[in-house]
Amino acid sequence: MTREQFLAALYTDEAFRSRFIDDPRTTALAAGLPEEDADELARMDMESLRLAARSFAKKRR
Amino acid sequence: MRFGMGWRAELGAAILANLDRIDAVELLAEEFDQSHRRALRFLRQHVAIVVHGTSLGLASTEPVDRKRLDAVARVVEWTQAESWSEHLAFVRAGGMEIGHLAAPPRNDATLEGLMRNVETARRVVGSAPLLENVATLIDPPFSTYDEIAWMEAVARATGCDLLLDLHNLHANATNFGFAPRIPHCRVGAVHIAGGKRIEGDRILDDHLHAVPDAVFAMLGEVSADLVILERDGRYPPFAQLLGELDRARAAA
Repeated sequence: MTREQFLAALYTDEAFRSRFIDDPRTTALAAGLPEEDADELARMDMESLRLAARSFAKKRR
Repeated sequence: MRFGMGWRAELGAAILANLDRIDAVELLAEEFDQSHRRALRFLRQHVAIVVHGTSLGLASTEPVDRKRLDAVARVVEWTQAESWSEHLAFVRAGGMEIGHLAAPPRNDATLEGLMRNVETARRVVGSAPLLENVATLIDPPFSTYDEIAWMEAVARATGCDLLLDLHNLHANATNFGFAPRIPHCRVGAVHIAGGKRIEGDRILDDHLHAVPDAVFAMLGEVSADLVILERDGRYPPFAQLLGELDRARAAA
């Protein structure tokens, strides 16, 4: 996955997002992202991610 | 400076009845197709038109979708729009549709993708878009530019003027705790709108509420040709929207 594809999956795929929130680093590495990207993603604000995903889901309806 | 309003079907009759107080309307490109050509011809005879895209996803390392771009180009041609605009956002990746405007990683890779997509857009549409900053609830990962530096880098790299959305700037400044300022680059047009407070004292840019004081205050610091008021629902009496336009005139 590219970085954008990874973010798009986080914003749109609830199961993928849950796995990521439980274990961000492992999920990022499993998607093929490099170590430094996985480290950065592990520092994401998960509450912001939940809010953003909820907002995107409302727009898709 | 001129003052206009986003065209929405629910507001159409009121807009047409008040063109003495509305200098321009902004049409959403994705809402119009061949079946609307006659209506668009009528509209352009009465008011200046600008066209606003929401689906191109120009700020991406992936190439812009040619069919979507052709559709925007047709609306620009039918309306003889004086300008058109798109967002500094990505809306899909690897075939996944996000469904809305996602803030991209603000870095050089995105900037290079944006430059390629803007060049394609310029060739297909016949003019360059104004580029609009987006509101976001999440600080985009993989970013090396802050919000303001990103807008300035975009303007330098693409040569495009900004469509500066003051509510998006206000919302992001609140959500991520930075002091908003007007970027040092050409601003072709301005959006004003309102949103609401949600969890964590964040601001959601939903275009369903009145323009807040902070946005009017920033309007006085911007130089641009056109200010557009955006309202997407929960419509108040039209006099209230005209009042917001009057307040914008007074603030600018």
